Amino acid sequence: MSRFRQELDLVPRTAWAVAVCTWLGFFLLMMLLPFRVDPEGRHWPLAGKLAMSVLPGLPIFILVLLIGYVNADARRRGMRYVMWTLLAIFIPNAIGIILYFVLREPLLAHCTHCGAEARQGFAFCPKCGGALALACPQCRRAVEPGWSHCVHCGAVVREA
Amino acid sequence: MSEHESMKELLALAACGALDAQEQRRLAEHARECPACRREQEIWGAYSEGLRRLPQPPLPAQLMERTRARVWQERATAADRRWDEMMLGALALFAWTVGLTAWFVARIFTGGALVIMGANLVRFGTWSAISTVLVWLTAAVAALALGKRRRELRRAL
Repeated sequence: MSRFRQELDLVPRTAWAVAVCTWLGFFLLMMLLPFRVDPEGRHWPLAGKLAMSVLPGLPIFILVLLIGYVNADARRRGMRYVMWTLLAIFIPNAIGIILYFVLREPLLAHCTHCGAEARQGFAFCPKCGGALALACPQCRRAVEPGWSHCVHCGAVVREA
Repeated sequence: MSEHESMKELLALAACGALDAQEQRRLAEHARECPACRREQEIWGAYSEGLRRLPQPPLPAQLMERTRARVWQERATAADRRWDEMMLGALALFAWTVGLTAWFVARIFTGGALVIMGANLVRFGTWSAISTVLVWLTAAVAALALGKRRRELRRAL
């Protein structure tokens, strides 16, 4: 399955429903109002009227799906999903969504023992205590492979 | 690549027992007729034998689990980075599309004139200037607040 498809599957059904309803509402609004109000619009061919009604709703449709995606993705990454959803909705021109992609946290890691989710940077699984990364022998915080000293407490770190 | 060169590349693998039966047979046939490869095979064999005789240090505790977890994290992070780069490019275009669509729709619904304090807000120049200032101000405030919060979280970890 392609990455795009995987990410698209994240979008909640509610977001799809809201996106379709919004697009339909927009389509009807565009079909009914502007061409009646604007005297020149009344003489447009049907294909032109349809295009003018279908196309402007598409960015709104995509925007709603993206907001749904931000909500679901922030949730799976253990981020504050309500706050991010609100930012995605209220910062105009999809800038909230761009900010989300710039600032989002890495995906949660999975413990190889019990499969529980743990934030990246954790040295031990919060469920079963299994090792997720090399830990400092003194303060037990995660250290990077290759470090000779712990950056938190200064203890000597040996990989063995 | 000649047969000799391709066989030469297999010599080190043969010494550590990493060849399948067919490769082993091909190498043995070649070594029978090639003194240089036979000699090199003997040297690699001696190295391998010597290494096997060395004391085996015990593996660090939970090395496999840690390695597996790390490989998973690095793969996920790399895939995420590629995806984010693509998405950011597409989103930048999308942001412009949304801005233009909003202007277009506002223009249609207002009949091309929405005058407030002497300025026609749905004129393209005015609309672009106002929306750009509004968007950048909001985004800057949000980015500052989020960045500050992130720094605090990192400090707390």
